[in-house]
Amino acid sequence: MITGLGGLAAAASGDLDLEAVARRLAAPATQKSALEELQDATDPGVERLLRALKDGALYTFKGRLVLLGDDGGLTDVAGHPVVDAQGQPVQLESGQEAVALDESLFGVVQRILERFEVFSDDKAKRQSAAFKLGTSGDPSALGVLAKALEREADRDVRVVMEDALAKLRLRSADPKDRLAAVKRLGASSSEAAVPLLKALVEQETDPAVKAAAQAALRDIDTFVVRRNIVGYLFNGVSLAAVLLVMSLGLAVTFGLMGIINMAHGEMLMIGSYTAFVVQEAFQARLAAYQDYYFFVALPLAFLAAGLVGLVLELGVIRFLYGRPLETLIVTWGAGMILQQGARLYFGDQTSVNSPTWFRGGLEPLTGLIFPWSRIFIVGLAVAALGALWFLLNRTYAGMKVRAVMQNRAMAACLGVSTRKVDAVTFALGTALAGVAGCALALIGTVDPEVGKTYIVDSFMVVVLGGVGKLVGTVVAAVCIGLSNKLIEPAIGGTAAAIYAKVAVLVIVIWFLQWRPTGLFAQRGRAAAETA
Amino acid sequence: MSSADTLLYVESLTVSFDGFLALRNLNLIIERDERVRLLIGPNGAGKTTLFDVLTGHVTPESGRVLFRDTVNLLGQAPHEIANVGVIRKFQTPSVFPGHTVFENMLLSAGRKRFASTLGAGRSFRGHDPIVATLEQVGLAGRAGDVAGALSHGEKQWLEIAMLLVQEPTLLLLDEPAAGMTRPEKERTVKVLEGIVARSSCSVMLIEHDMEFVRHIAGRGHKVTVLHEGTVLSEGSLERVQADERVVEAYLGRGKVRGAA
Amino acid sequence: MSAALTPPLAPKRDRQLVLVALFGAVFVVGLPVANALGFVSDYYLNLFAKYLALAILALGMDLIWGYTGILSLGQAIFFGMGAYSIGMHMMLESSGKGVYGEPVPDFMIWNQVYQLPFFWKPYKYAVVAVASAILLPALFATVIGLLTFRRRLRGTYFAILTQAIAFAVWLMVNRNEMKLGGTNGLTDFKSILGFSLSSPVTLRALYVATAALLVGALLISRAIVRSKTGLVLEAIRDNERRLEFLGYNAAGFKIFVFAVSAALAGLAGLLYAPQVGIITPSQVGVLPSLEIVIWVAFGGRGTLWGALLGAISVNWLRSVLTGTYPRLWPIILGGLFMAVIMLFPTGLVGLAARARALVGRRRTGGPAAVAAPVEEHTA
Repeated sequence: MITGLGGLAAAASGDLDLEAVARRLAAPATQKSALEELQDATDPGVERLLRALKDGALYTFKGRLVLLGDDGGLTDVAGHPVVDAQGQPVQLESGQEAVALDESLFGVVQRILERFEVFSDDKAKRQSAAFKLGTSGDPSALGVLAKALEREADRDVRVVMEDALAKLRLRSADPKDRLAAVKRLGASSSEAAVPLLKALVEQETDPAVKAAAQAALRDIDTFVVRRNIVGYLFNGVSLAAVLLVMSLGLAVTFGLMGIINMAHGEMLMIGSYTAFVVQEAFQARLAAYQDYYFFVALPLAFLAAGLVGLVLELGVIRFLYGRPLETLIVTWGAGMILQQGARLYFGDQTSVNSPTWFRGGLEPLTGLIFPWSRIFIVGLAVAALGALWFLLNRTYAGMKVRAVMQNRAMAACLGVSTRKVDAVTFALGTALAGVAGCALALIGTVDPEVGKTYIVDSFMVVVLGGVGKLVGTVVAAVCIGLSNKLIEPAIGGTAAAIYAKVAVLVIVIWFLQWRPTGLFAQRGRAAAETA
Repeated sequence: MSSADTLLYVESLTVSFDGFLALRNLNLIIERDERVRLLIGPNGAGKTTLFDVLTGHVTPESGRVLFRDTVNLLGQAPHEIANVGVIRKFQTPSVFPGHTVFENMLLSAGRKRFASTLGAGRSFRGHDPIVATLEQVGLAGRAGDVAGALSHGEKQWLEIAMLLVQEPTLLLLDEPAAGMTRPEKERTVKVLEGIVARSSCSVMLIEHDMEFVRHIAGRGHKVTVLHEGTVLSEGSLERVQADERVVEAYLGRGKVRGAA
Repeated sequence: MSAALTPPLAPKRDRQLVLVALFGAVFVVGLPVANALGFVSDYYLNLFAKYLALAILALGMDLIWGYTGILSLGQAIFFGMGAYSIGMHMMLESSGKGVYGEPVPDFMIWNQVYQLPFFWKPYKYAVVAVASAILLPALFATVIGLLTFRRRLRGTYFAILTQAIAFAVWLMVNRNEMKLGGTNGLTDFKSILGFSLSSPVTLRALYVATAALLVGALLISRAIVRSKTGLVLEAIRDNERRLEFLGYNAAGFKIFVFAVSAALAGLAGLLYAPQVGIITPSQVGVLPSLEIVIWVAFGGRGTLWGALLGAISVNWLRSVLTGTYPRLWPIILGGLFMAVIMLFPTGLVGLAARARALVGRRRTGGPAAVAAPVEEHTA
């Protein structure tokens, strides 16, 4: 005789006599009706029972119903372990068969279990469960949802639950209920409700409800269109920031100094690899502070690329001033060396993980996500631009740079060391490229080809903007970024990204014809040389 | 004023650079038989701008420019204007320094249409007009030398030769004596006199060097004084130099060298 | 009085023609004969065919850039047009029967395209393929020239413009929807004009054709360059504005030379594809266009021979290095570019000239004079 606390089970679980329910579930004749009665159940004991039944872990043992746990131990319907007279846990005899669940009722059990998710401790689970119930169109879920709503404290989940209830109430027999549901769905701009509303419009008899449903559909549509536009604008701004950050360094070396640096892309590559190396180092030594790797990587990328640029300038480029052709070839060669060096040392495919705070994003409107990593890049672009502008226009060093670029001979006469200025300015340009590469590692891969991917775009931005003016680079980046991302949805389809890019290129080509000096032309060394 | 039978007819020419009026309602006429016209005036008076308009390099706000009564110079491309017979010499010598004197001349001479250049060679044969012109400026002995190796004065003469071989109707010379030594200037005067004597082209000349001006104007050629974008005074050199307005304009900016 | 003038150009001419004859003797006659006799392997002959085809490409580049000073970063597009033209013809020649009884290339079948797209149809005929390989690029170049040269778009802006066009074309050609083989391009050519591409006789014939056409292209280029047109082109490079004041309509000349360079590029592609056996979008785009610039500059621009030398030497070096130093070759090649240009800015031809000067030959004002002004001028 098995004693234990099992006998108290019935009393302990309140409304429900779990043992009786279990017995009825176990018997094939009464299984179906038992399940039907459980549609509205909210008792956690029922959940346990049904899970066991579904998983084949419900057994009849010495006249009682027991559940087999994952650990092999047995518990009774109330959840208490089953023990023998000595208090030792009891094991199932081998060969025992679990209570069978009729195949046709599997779905029913599943659905009831899903509803239980609505009471889960995990907010995300509750939210998704409520959403699923709403779209299930199963009116029998109404009761459960209503009960869940009563208990729900979190605002976000409440909104989802109310929407779900409204979706279910669309099928209500009472037109007043339907009207209320339609209005509710329109007001909350629930995109998921659109197919349900459309179906309703076709079948609806009550004219008031029908009109309301059409109005709701229009409202939702307006919302969706607006939201999408906001989305495209964000994408455009994000792309503009990426382009700007890529091209800022080139705006300094090519725009300001007139040096055609074909290794600019490889400077970006150096920045990306810096991010990779730093991340690896953190993972190996400072795993606890892993997410902070990025703060270390950024300045290091600046230094690394700046250093390489400095070496390039001192060793090679300074001998080739005024000869853009030779600079082009020499930097091309340097780029080849850097690229292959990276390939040999790092291999062909590596990537960098975003720090955890960069994952996910901001969600200003339902269904619209602004990834944090991209927001960061926008911020970085603005910060870099601001820093560069400040440096060039508000510091003495910047003034020296501008003097040398505008009139080298005169600046030298005034005592400015043009050699130093050249070296530092070029290094600044490459350093900026390094920072860009580090940031771009967040949204792309890190491989030796990275440089070649970015260089064409960078030159285009600088030239479109007008060589010699920072403002131009900014405006060009914004124009290209926005038009690219606004044209893309207009074209639509799977290849939209490519066609949009081609379209933007065509626009740039046409624009350059009409205004070959770019958006903001300036008389400067580079402009004079290339005109 | 009538434009009939004039060589160059400029009426109410106004040129604005972002609001700054380089030329204001300028009126100027060069008659058919006029051989030399001198254009003087303080810096910034608009002399070079006038040349820019005449050669199609700058577009005016308003005004008319007629060449030989019938040809409207406005709205034409520079190469078209050159082919019509209005040839310009720049302030700084702009020869092709990488090519020889002869090649520079070859470029300037002959037909300029594409088809004719394809058939023509770069070598020496049959180029008497080139030889003759080089002799006229005294550079016949330097034909094989690279133009970049010539002295400043020689480059100026080469450029004049290049212009002459184009058989111009109206020659626009922008400070031909600039940067020259005294002997070089004297030779330039002779070259100009030779041009006037031997060919039928007319010359309009911008100069600052008053002695140079006096040498040329001494033959009875007209002088036009420009000031702040418009004609201040016109006539023989004596008359112009006596004009109070001219004196004031120059004194206001510094004494005119060699003025009475 | 002509006797008083010193003739600078006469002696150079004879020397140059001798060089051309020599070049022809070695490459058009010598090498293929050696191959027929077994001294030069088929593999090497084929490799040289590739270099010579690319030399034609470089020649066009030298005309537009070395002589006229216009940096075109789109020559690879024209090359691609030529290569794809003949490629399409060869594919049609060697593909199986499609649904409608006309041959449809395999890659289309794999992409579930069972009917030949309309623009492929004319390429059934070899004449169309050859003509379009040369004329289509010339036409395209003329259109671009008409649109841009008349507005005096020059310098870096033309470079960026052609770069943008190259980029756009590359993006499009990579798409499967364009029905040009996508990223894999066109390959697996079996025969050309009925001659099997695996037969050494065919390959030798193709080689001879390539070498002969290169010599022809060289002669035509020389003719242009040595005429007054060549002088005008150089003047465009040196000071276009001044030239206009002399009465020349520079736009017409630029369009001409651009079209010629495009036609040469197309011809190069036409010869390249059958002998190399494949044409992909990676050969049509910005990066390959930049490489052409490197060849010409490395060899010495504005000399025609420099273009040949540069194209052949760089590509030959590349083949050798990729074989012997598969991991280090870009580093070696990149380093070589840097070293040569730093030490000899006028390229290999300049190097040769300086070597000759060192040996004590009298400076006649020939190559050195050509090399010197090139130094002064910007890209």
